[in-house]
Amino acid sequence: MRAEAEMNRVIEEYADTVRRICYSYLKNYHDTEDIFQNVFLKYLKSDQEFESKEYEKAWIIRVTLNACKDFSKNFFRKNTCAFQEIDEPFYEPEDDLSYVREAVCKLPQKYRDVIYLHYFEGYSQVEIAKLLKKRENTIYTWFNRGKALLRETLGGDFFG
Amino acid sequence: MISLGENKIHEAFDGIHAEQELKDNTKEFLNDYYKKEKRAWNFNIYKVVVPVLTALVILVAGVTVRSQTVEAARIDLKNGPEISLSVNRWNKVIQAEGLNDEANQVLESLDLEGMNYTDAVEKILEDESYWQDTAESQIEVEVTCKNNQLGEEIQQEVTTQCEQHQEQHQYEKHQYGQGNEEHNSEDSSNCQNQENQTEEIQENCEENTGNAQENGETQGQQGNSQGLHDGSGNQNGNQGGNQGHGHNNTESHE
Repeated sequence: MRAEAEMNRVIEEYADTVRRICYSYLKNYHDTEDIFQNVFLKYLKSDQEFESKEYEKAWIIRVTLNACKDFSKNFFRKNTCAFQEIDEPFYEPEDDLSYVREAVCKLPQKYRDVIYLHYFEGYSQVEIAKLLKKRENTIYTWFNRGKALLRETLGGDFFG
Repeated sequence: MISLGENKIHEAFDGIHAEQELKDNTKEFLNDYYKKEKRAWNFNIYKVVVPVLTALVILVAGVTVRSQTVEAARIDLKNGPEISLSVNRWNKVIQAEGLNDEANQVLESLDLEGMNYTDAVEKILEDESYWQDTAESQIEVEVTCKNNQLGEEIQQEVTTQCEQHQEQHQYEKHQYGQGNEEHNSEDSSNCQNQENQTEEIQENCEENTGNAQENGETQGQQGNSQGLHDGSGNQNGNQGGNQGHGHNNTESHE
């Protein structure tokens, strides 16, 4: 089990990353909080030593993506609507780019992950393939399809 | 070269930050988890130690009970009543078995189970019925044991016990036999003595009568008186002999 100080450092460092991934998957604050607790609890329990910050970040991203996928697959969650969704509106940044976020979030999950990881986190398709444990060609295909869908939604000149 | 769209996606997601409340709640949750784990660890010590100790006690008890009922060595006493003793690792007899009718008769009156094997063997050897068929032959001890050292120890001890008892019995038997023989030989020697004495008396009487005829009356009187003296002396001797040897002597007189 990791030390308390280390946990505080990791939360401060990767909270935004986890929050962004959760944003594309989840629609309310409490579900996001559940994912936060799951991800950092896994880190707390893990004995894995990371060679560098990059490895540590990749581990956090992969665990968050898996947690979000598991959460979305949950039958109970799929077929019910939380009270919080109605009572407590999901956090939305105050800017004029909400249409971009919305377009990305509407992409199928596999395209969305690749688009987010490439355009925001800056991973190459090869790195994404390693991170998601998929074949490189699959990632290239998903990336191109996602990009094409975004172009359709956001207009032909979105990617220049 | 970064396109406008790529930039916009980056910007769009860059505006998303984890709320302080979310971070604080997560930290609080993990702190609670730390405390709970500590408590659980303390509780787990009892949760683990108690079953482990219980299992250990059951295991030790099981092994002990099993070791008491499992045969570690087998002692067979052969020649005569053939008795087989099963001994556990604590040197206690767990089963005594008679391999022939004589042995079963011996074991009928003995309760050897639970005794130390030396005590059990001693009890068998002290039983008179065992020696009815054994006294003439040497007891053969056969020990079967997986542990050679233990087997040798048992063999040595039991053999010594058997030898001691055998010697004792042979000695007693010899003593009894010799007593009878001595009794018989004394009787025969007494008879011979008495015969010799009667012959001597007869010879003396004959000599006395011869002297009286040759030496005249005075000499004859002296010779008679001497002869009477000798005769009484012989008679006294015979009487002493008769008193010493009881009824057998009287028979020889007759």
